[in-house]
Amino acid sequence: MKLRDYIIIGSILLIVGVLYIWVTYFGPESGSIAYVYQDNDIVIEVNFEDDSYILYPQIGYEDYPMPSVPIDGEGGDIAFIIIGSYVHQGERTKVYIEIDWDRKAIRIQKDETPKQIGVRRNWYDGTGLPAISLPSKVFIVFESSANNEVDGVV
Amino acid sequence: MKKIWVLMNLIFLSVLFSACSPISKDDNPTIKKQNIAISTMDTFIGGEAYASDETWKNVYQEMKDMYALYHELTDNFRGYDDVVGVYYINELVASTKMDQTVEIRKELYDLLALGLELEDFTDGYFNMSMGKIIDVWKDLIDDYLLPGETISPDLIDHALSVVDKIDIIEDAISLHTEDDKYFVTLKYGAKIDLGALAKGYVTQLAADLLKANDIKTFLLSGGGSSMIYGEGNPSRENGVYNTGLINPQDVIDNLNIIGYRPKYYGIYSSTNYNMTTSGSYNQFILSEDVMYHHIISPKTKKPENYYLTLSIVGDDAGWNDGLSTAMFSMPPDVLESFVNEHNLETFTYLFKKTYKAYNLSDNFKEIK
Repeated sequence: MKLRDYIIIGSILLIVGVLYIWVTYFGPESGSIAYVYQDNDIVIEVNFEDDSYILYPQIGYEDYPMPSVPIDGEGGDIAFIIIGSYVHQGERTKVYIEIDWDRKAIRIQKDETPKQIGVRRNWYDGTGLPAISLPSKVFIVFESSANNEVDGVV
Repeated sequence: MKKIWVLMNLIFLSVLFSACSPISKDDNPTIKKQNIAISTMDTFIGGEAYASDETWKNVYQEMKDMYALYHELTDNFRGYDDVVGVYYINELVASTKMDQTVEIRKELYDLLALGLELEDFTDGYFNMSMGKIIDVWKDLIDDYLLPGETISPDLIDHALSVVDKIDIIEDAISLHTEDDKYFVTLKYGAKIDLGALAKGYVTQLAADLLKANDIKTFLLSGGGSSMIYGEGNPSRENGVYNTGLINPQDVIDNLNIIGYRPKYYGIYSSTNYNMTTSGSYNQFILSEDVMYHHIISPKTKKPENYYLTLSIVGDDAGWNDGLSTAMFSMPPDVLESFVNEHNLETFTYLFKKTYKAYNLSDNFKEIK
């Protein structure tokens, strides 16, 4: 092989190496997608990689998820209202969802359920105890991340 | 130039393969991660599985149908049209005030049969016919808004006097088959409650369904107290699945901190296993510094406080669901001889911020 060949091979190896490191360490994280479920349906899909979201109209309540305003000073950047399963005075009640882009977290900010278990869970980034409101049938689910120490908790 | 071309191809291929996860090395490239999120049985079933879209569409629908069926069969709070389930049987016995024999579906028959097997295996520490006693404690605990609330000793005394008057009926449930039909007999005075068995049982069926469809890489979370795993976890080099065992004392100590993320006291790593925990720390009230929770001992008809959590490892989430509930009510000396006799890998988190493990394997790592 000539010197030119060595230079070409070396350059290729360098490029491939840089690409590999870039993809491995700076590529999209698998835990950057989260879903807000109501009952068995995804109503909000959140992508923390590019701070974007997709709303899926609720069956029977096509105006929801409805944009709302996050509570000032508590970190939320955007907020939505969805309709939960908890019935009060004959009507299904609203559940307020907030998203914080900086901490890559979602919370149930407010609902009308008696024990407020989902609300008390506060900001959830996919680690630790799950964020669930059973009476409202609202569940926040993060795609599992390779960075998590555990895959499940009991 | 040919040599360079060959080298470029080799480099490209090596990079391509090094980027592959354990899933795609030897499987169909159409296989991808599918999310599991099912709202059923008054809880949330979550998880993920690796399957092609084509396979997943049918399997996931079958899984959801299965949960829906068992929800209707085992719900003891409401009945459903044309469903002969637990609610129907309980109401029939209560309204007629006499023993009743009812034809049931094979699915419910098999579930009840497992429960009877557990009753025998645990020497009565598992009991699925004391629904009336469970209702007394559940109503008391559900009346209070927050975990850990303190209530008057009078209310506890009242609950104790009520359950004292409720008999544990011996051999309350019996099963038989006739001409390929399935029957259950429930004695008057008893009430079926499958809360300690049904969710784990169906979640195990869901795992079995995945395996039957050649879906080997998955995790299923059955309502937060039970995890079932497959193999080939793409998130870890060795393909294992890690379960964090929550430190219940840490949860209790920080009940006032909204959004607190509790610590683990250990991590269990393996493949193709189930980890089930029964615990008192997330549903309890206090009276005179004693915890009253939702796991009721059939021996004493009240909650016992030998452990904060009890976790067992096994390969059947249904069996483990009932078994961990039963073991939670066993005094430490009974528990020790029981787990040793049956060689059960068991973790108990005790009061005084410590844990005790039985038949410990190398899969467990303590977290300080």
